Amino acid sequence: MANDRFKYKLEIQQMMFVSGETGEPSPETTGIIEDIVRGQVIEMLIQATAQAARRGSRSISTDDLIFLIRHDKAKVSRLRTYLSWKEVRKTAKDQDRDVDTADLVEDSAAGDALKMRQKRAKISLPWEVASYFSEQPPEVDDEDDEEEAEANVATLARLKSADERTKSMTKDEYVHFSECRQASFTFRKSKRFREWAGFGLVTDAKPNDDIVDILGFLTFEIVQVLTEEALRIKDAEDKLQTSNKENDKKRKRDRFLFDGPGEGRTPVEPRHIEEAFRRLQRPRAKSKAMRNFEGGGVMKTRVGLM
Amino acid sequence: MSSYPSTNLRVQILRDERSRTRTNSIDPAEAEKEDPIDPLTAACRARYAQFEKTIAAIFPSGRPCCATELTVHELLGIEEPNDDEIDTLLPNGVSKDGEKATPVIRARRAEEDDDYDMDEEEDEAPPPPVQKPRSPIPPTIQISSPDRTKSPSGKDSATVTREKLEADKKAAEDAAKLSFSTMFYTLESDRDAMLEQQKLDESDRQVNAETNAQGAPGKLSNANLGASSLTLKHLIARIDAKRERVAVSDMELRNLMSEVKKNRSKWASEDKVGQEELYEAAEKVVLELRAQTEHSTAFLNRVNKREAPDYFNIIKQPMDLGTVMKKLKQLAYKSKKEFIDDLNLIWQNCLQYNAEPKHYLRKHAIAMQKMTQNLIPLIPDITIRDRAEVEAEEAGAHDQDADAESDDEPIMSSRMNRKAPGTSKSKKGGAKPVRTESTPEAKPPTLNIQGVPDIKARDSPVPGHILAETSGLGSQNGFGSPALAHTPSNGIVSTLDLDPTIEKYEVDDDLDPEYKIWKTMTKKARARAASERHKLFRGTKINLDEPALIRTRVGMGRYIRSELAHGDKDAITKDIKAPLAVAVEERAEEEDDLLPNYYKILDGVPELPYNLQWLGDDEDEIDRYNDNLHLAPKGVFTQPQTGLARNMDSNMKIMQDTRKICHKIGVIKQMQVQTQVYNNQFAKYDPQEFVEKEPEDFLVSEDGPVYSEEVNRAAFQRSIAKIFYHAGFEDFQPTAFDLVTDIATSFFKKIGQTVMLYSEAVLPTGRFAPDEILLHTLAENGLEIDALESYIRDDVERLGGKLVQLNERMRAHLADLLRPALNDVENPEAAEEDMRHFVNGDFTDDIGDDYYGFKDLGLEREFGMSISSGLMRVLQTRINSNYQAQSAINPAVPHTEYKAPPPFEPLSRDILKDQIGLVQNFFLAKLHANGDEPLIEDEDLPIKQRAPKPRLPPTGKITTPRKRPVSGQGGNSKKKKRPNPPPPVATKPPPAGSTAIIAPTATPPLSEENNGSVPKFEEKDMDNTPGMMSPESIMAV
Repeated sequence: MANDRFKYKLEIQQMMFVSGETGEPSPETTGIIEDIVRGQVIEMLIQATAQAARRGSRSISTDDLIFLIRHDKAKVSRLRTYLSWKEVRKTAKDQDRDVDTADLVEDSAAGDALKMRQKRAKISLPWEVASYFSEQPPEVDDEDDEEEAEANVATLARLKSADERTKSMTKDEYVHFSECRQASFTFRKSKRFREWAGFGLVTDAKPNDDIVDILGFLTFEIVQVLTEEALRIKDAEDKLQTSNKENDKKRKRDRFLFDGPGEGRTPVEPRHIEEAFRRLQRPRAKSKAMRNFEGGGVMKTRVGLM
Repeated sequence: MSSYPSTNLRVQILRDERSRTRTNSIDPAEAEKEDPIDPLTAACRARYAQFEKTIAAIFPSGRPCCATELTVHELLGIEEPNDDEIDTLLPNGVSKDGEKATPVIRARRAEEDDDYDMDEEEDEAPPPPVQKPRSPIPPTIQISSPDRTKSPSGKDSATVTREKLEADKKAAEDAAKLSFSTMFYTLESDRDAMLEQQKLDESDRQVNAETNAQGAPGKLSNANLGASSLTLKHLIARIDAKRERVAVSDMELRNLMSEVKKNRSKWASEDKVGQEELYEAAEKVVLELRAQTEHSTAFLNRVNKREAPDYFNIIKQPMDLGTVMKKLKQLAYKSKKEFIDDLNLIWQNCLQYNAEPKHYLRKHAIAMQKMTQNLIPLIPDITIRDRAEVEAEEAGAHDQDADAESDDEPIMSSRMNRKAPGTSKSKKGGAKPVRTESTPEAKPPTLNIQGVPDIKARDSPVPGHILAETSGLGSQNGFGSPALAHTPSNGIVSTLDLDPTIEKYEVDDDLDPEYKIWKTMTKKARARAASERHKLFRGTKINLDEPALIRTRVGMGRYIRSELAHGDKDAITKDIKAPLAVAVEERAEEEDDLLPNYYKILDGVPELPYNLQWLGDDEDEIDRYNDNLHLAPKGVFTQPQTGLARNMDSNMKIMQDTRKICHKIGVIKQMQVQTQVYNNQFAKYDPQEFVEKEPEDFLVSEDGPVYSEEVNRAAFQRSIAKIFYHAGFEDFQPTAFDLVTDIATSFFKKIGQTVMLYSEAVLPTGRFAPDEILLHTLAENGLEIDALESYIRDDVERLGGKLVQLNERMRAHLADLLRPALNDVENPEAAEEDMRHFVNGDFTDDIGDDYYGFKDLGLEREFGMSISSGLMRVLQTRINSNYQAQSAINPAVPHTEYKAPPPFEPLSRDILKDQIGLVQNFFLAKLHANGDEPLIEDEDLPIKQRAPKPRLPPTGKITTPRKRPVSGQGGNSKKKKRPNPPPPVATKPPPAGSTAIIAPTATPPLSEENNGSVPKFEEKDMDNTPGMMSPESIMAV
C-alpha cells in the first residue's frame, strides 16, 4: 500500500546516486524524500499562484516560479541556462527534421555550436535591468555576464565532483551514471507529475510546459540538496560512531585475511533525511528580524522553499 | 453684557451658613441651648483646634504671617487666655461649662468673630461708623438696631441690613482667604462646580431667549428708560427710527442704555415709582439664589413634564427661578410681595410635590428657602405705582401744605425726584428722603427690617415666621418689636408654615463648615478655572488649538505679593525682582476671584534661568541668547556623499538618461508608423536631476539628533524613494510608499534597539567593542555581511555597469532608427558624422552649418516642440518614408547576391506596345487621361493620392473595397495580396502575419522577365524564416 503511494522511487534513487549516495537507499528513505519534494512542489505552486493572482492572472507563468527562488542567484542562473538550452534543443530538433543528418555530420561541431549559441534565446526576467525601460534595444550578442560566470562556479563545482566520481568508473558504470543523470520527475512523465503534484487542486490543471520543466529541474535540485545534506549528516554520524567504537573495542582493529568482508557503506536512512530537512527548514535570521522586540518568539511559518 | 451684577455686589449680599452658626453661638441664649446638646462635638472641636495649632508649632515656617502665637502650655491644653478679648468675649453661658475644652473653642470662635468684626468695620461703606477697633461688642447683629439707626449718615435699616450682609460676606471671604494659606482643598469638586455653573449659564440664556422672544421689538421711547430718555432723547429717537435694523432685543438695548447712563439702572422707569429699587434688589436676590448652584440646580428651570408626568396634577401653579427672572424682565411684578410669593411658591411646590420627608430635593428646597429668608430683607418693601397716581397724591399733599409748586410741569419735577436716588448709587442717602416723603410705603422697611435681625437671631428654627414677617406688606408697619415675630400673621404664613423638625433634619449638612465656605466662596472662580482647564484638553489629549498659557504681569505680581506677605523674601530671586518690581506695585485693578495660589500655577513658575529671558508682555521683548540657540548644521537631512551614495546617484543619472533615449526611440517609432504627427502629440519628457534639498534654516538649542518626526520621516522617505528609483521604479503608489516607510522605520528602530542592548550589556570581561556590537546587531536583524556586500556589488556596482551598457545600446539603437532620416544624402559617411551629433542632440558650433540647416535642431529641442512644425514635419516625413523604404529593402539585404530588381520603368507610350494586348487599351486610356505623361506606379504616388487598396479576406471573396488608405508597415505586406491585374506567376503567398517578410513588389512585366530568379528568392526566403524574424539580423545589416 505504502509503496503504491510513492511513484518516484526509482527516479529518486537515481537522483540520489547522482548526488553522491552510493548505497541503495531503502524505500522508506525514498518515500520520505518523495513526500518532502511533493510538499515543496505544492508549496511552490501555491505561492506562485498567489503571486500570479497578485498580478491579476489566473495561471502561473514561469516568471512566478522563478520569482520564488530569486534569492538563490546560482539556482536562477542554472535554471536560465537550462531553459535557454531547452529552447535551443527545441529549435534544433525542428531543424533536424528538415536538414539531413548527413549535413549535420558534415558540419563541423564548432560551427554547429556557434549556430546554437547564436540562437540561444535569452530568458529575460521582469526584474532585470532591461525591463526598467520602456524600449528594448535589440539584443547584442556580446559575451557577458560575470553573473553567469559566477553562477557557473557552483555548476562547475558540481560537474567537477561528478567528474571525480566518474573518473574511476568503468564504461558500464559510467553508462549507468549518465542514465541516472537523466532521471527526472517530469521528463516524459508529465501527466504522472501533474497528478502527483495535484495540479488541478492547487493551481491550473493545464500548466505550461515550461512550468513543468522548471519544476522538474527544481525537484531534482531539491533531491540533490537533501541528499547532500543527509550525506553530510551521516558522515558526521559515522565519524562519531567509529571514534566511539575505536575507544570501546580496540581489538576490532586488527583485521585478518579470512575475516568476512568489511562493513560496506550503509545507505542514508530516513532519519538522516529528516534531520537534513530540519536543518534546511531552520528559519533564517532574516525572516525573524522583524519580530524582534515584539515578542514574536513562536511564529507560524510556512514551509521554506529549498 | 452680563446680566449678573458686579461681583462685589453679589458678594455683598451673599450670606453663608457660617456666619449664621457664629451668630448663633455667640448669642447667649443660643449658646445655652446649644451647649448641652453636643458637649462631645465641642470637645472634638477643641481637640481639633489644639491640633491645628500644634501643627503650626511643630512645623514652624519662620514666616511672620504664619507664625503661631501658641506656646507650649497651650499645646498641653492648659487654658491661659493670652488676650483680654477672649475673656471679655466669652459669652456668659460658656463659663458655666465645666469642661476644659469648651473654653478653647469659645476662645477661638471669639477670635474669629473679632477678626470678622474688624474686617467688617474696615470694609464698611463710605461713612464708617466711628467705632473702636476690637471693640468688645462682638456680634454686629446685636448692636445693629440701636447703633445703626444712630449713625450719622442716616442710613435706613434696609441699608444697614445690606451692609451687614455685605460685611458678613466679606468676612467669610476673608476667612476663606485666610484659610487658603493653611488649607489645601482638593480639586475634585471643581468639576461639579463647573457643571453647575454651566447649567446656570444655560438657564440664563434660556430666560434671556424667552424674554426676547416675547413680542416684536418695540419702540425704545415707549420702553421704560427712565431719565435717560431725556438726555439721550435724540439717540433714542434715532435708534427707534432704525429699530428694525438693530439686531438686538429690547432688553439688551435697555441694558446698553443703562450702561451708558451709569447712574441709572436698566430697571429705571419714567412713570413707575419704585420700580428701580424693587427690581434692582429683586434681581440681585434671584441671581444670588441661582448662584447657590449646590442647591438651586433643580429650581433653575421649569419642571419638565417628561421628568415628572404627574407634576402638573399635583402642582397647579408651577414656578421656577427662570420664570421669576423672566417675569422680572417683563416687569411683571408690582410689589415685593408678589415677587416673594413667587419665590416661596417654588420651594413650596417642591416640598409639596416631594412630600416624602427624606427626598433629597427637600433638603435643597429648604436650604433655598432659608437663603431666601436671608435675602428678603434686602428688598425694599415697595409697591410700584404709576407716577401719575403718585403725583396726584403728591399734588394733593402739596396742595394741602403749600400751593406754590403745584403748577410745575409734572414730568420735569418727577424727573428731578427720580434723579436723586440715581445719582447716589450706594443706595442710601438721597433716595430715601424722597421716597419717604413721596410714598407712604417707604416707611415700613425701616421698621420692619430693623426687627429682622433680632428675630432671625433668636428663632432660626422657625424661619417661616420671619419670612412671613418680612414679606409682610404695609399691614405690619409699625410693628418693630421682636415680639411680633412670634405672632403668626395672616395669610401667607400658613403656606410657609413648616415643621421645624423636618427642616432641622434636612438642612443638616454633613460638610465641614470651613469646606463649605470654601465651596461657596470660590464656586464661581473654581468653575471658571475648571472650565479653562477643561478646555485645554480634548479627550485625553492636549488641545493644540488652545492658546498658550502665558504668565501675566498681574498674576506674577500677585504671586510675588503673596510671597512677600509671607515674608519669604528669598523666594524671589534677584532676576525676577528687577522686571517685576513694577508689577508688584501695579495692583490688579480687580481681584475678583478668590482662588488660592495653587490654582494659578502659571504665576508661580520661576523664571527661566537662561536661553530665554522674559522682559515683558510684548513679543519682541523675549531676548534670545545667541550662544544657546544656533542654526542647525547643514547636511543633517541630506545624504552624505559617500561612495555608495555617489554610485547610486550616478546610476540614477544614467537611468534617467536612458529613459530619455527610450522616449526618443518611442517618438521615432511612432513617427515611423504614423503618417502624420502633431506637435503636441508627444509629451515632453525631461526628467530633472535628483537634488536633495536642505530644509530651511532652523534653530536648535543643542547638538545631537534633531527630533522632528515630520522632517525626519520626509527625509527618510526621500531616501526610500531614491532606492525605489534605483530599483527601477519610475513611480509608485503612495500607499505602497508609506507602507515601505513604516516597515523600514520599524526595522531601523529595531536595529537601534539592538545596538542599545548590546552597548548596555555587561560581559564578565567588560563591554562589547563597537565592532562587536555592530556585528551582533547585524546578525540579530538577519543581515549578513556577505549579503550586504553582495548587494553593493551586484545591485549597485554591477547594476551601474549594466546600465551603462544598456545606455550605449540604446543610443546605438536610436542612431539606427534615425539613420534613414539622414540616409538619402549623397554621402552617407558624412551623414554618419553629423548624425551622431543629431542623435546626441548636441549640434554645436564646431560643426558650423549643421546638416539640415536646422541650426539648433537638438532632439530635445525638437521634442520640446521648440522648432517650427514645418521642420518637424520634414523630419517626420523623412523618417517615415525612409522607414517604409527601409523595411521594404531590408529583407533583401542579407542576400546581397540577389540584386534588388530595378525600379519599373514608368509606363509611357514608348513601352506600351511591349505589353500584352489585353491591357494595351486600358493603359492607353489611362495615358490619354494623364495627358500622355508616363504613368506613375501607385506605390510611387504621394501617400495621400494613393487609391484605397482593397483587401482580400481569407475567403478569397472580394467584398466592398475598404476606404481606409493603407499606410505604414502593414500596408506593405498587404500589397502582396493585392490582386494585381496579372498576378505574379511564381509568387507563393508568404506565411500570414509575418509582416517582416516583404518581397519587392512584383509588377507584371518584371515578374515575367525575372521569372527565373523569383522562385529561388522565395525559397531562400522561406528557408531563413526564423533568422529573418530575429531583430539581430536586422541589426546586422
